[in-house]
Amino acid sequence: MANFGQKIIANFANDNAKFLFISAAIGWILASSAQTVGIIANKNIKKEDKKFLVPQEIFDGLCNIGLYALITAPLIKQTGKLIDNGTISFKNIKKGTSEFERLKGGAKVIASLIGAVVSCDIATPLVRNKLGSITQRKALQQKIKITEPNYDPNYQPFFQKNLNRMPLKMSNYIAFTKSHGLKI
Amino acid sequence: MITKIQSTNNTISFHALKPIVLGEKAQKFLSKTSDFSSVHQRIAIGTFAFLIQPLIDLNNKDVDKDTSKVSAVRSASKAVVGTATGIVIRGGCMKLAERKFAKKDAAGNILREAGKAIIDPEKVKKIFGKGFDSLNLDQKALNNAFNRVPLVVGTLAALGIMVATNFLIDAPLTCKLTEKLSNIVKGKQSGGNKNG
Repeated sequence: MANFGQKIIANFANDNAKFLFISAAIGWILASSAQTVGIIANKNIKKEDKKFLVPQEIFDGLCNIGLYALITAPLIKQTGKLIDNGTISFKNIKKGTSEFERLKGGAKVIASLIGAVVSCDIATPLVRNKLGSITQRKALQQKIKITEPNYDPNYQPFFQKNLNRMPLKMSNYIAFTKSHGLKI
Repeated sequence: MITKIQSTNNTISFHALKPIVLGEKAQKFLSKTSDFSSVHQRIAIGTFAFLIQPLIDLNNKDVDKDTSKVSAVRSASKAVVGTATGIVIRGGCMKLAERKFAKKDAAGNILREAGKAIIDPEKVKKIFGKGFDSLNLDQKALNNAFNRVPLVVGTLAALGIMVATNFLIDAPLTCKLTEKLSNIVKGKQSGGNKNG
């Protein structure tokens, strides 16, 4: 009786397109996690850039795997079907022979590569940029809500309710007029 | 190639496709691609990622120009570093797996045929033989599958190694390259502004 590892290796070695599909998905999960941690840990990237780059990276990974599965898996399956039903055939090669299966496998590998390029290199960046910018906007809006007005009573004595505690002085008034935050 | 598409109940029938007969050249190409490894896949994805993704990022109108530039530079860096390390680690692991399963001469050198290592079916059978029993493959298909075992084992080992290298090599290298390229882009920009 074959164990799990033997079955996996045998199945992957027999169906190369399926193997490339699964190994690429695992690779992206690992790569995306590493890149996200890398951005968070990098002190040389500005906070403003991180706000966009971190969600971009997370969406990149999610989109990569999601779109890859959505586009590539049906493409591989459909290629196999088109060969099986005779829409795509091979000259002088009979159906069911090992050579036929090898060529069918080759066509499925090509389908998996096309699917990978279309999904990961074209569809993913388009979708992740859109989703990443939405998250960035939300994060900025949240920050605006959280940030409370901050003023120094020494520079803005007019806002003090209790004048006995903070009397209006000429030095305070001059400082207030020189304030960069003053808008009239 | 599509002569007529019959659509019923929101499903498309592919029977309407005109039959395609692939000749010898296409067959030779497909025969080669059936043995494509994850290295070939990484090269294909990485090359297109380097060519296409930065352009998509630069044309992202949802963010300001500076962010889109950083994003484009980062995409290019990621493609370069990810592809390079991916190829090196996958390729290295496959070579090691090949060494394990290949036929060797008395001196321990790997025997090759048309540049490719000759895989010893007995060595594969010894470790993974039981897994192939349930697949019911004929001898030729079985040999093809045996030849791909080092590619599969090498790729899986590479994925395990890349858990560590993604954090230790890919991520820091991508950040460094992004910084360097960003500085070059900024330098060019400020130079252009001065001239302008």
